[in-house]
Amino acid sequence: MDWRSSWLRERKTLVHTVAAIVLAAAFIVSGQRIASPVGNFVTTVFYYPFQKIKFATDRLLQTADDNKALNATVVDLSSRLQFYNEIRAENERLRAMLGFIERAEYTVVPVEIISVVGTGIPNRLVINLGADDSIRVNQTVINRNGVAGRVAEVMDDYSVVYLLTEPRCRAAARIKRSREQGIIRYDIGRGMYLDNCPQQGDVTVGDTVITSGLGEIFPEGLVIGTVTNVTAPEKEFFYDISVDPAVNFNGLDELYILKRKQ
Amino acid sequence: MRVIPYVVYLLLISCYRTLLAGLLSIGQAQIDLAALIVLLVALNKEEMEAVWFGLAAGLVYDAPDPSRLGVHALIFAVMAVMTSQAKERLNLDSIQSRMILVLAGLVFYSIPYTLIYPTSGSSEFFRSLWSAALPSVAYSAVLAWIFFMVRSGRLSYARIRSIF
Repeated sequence: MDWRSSWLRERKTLVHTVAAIVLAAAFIVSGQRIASPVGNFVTTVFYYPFQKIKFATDRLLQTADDNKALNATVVDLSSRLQFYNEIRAENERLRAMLGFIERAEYTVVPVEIISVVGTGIPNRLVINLGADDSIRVNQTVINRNGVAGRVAEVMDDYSVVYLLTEPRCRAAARIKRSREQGIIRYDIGRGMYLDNCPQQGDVTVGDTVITSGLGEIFPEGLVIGTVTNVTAPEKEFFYDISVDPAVNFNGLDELYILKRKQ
Repeated sequence: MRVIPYVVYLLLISCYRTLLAGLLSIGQAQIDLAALIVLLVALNKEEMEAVWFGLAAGLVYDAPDPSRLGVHALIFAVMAVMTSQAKERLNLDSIQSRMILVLAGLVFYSIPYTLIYPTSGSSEFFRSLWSAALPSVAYSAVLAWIFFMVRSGRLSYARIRSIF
């Protein structure tokens, strides 16, 4: 026994080297029965903490990517929502208008404003449709709030519109509540007013002024404006009635021409 | 207490394999960190410790894929023995001589491993050797050279700052 132990002591390094190499070779030839549990144990001890860190980091990066993509989607959807809201509002306006048109047997033709004429407040417009588009003189021009004016001149591919602010553009009108009749005029100094309304009539501030249909230019029932002031001057036969127009002539955007159905 | 540094080395190997290998790779070239650590341990420690550390490092390296368990352990153990034997027979005072030994060790590690497990997507041994193994050897050798330069004091923060 002594010579064996002394031999081992003298060749300690060699013995350890051979043992390590044999052990490594044993792992190779042992197959999955030994390799799997050893591999699992070593993985749990040495790899698990770093794998947790890697998973957490990957998830964080993935979340950041998802967040970026979702932000882009939110911006896209928000802009679409604004667009669709605008379309929905326009649709509602058009539906309301179509209801009126059905009743009055008119069709509506949208037009674009090419240019605006007028000092202070606009009184004439040039629109993009003309005789080629079946536009005729005296057809009524409206927007979503009420009467804007009438077609005054028609060329082949454009037309001139007189707004109600043009002194040459007058409209037969009546008070919606009491049916009192008059003529809507516009004066640069005085503004819009209802003329030729006898002082015996029933007119009060806040009354809605609509077209009467007389004169056969403007269809009956279109809103013109609201009465803001009523005075009865002495020795005069007619009221002095100021009207606030329903249409904002300084902010005209969408205009339509009413064409009588054939 | 003597075991703690070796445990830290093994954790460094597993950390590198899990988190850093992808980040530090250049094309198909990766740092053979496990082989480098085994070589450095064999250069600086006794043969017996180096052999057992080589075996442990190989087991840690192969643990995620148990079907290969033992291959790296065998290669690293043999590499540690060869490096320790060479260390006792050669004069390794200069950085160049140590670098030659490290390069030889890295090539010794790469060739048999590439022979057994060629890089995926390229079944030919020489193509794998040329495209992945040898660039990895060069990359690892550069890292070893930087390590030796820093350890010998030839490369330091103060020296780099003095250049600028």
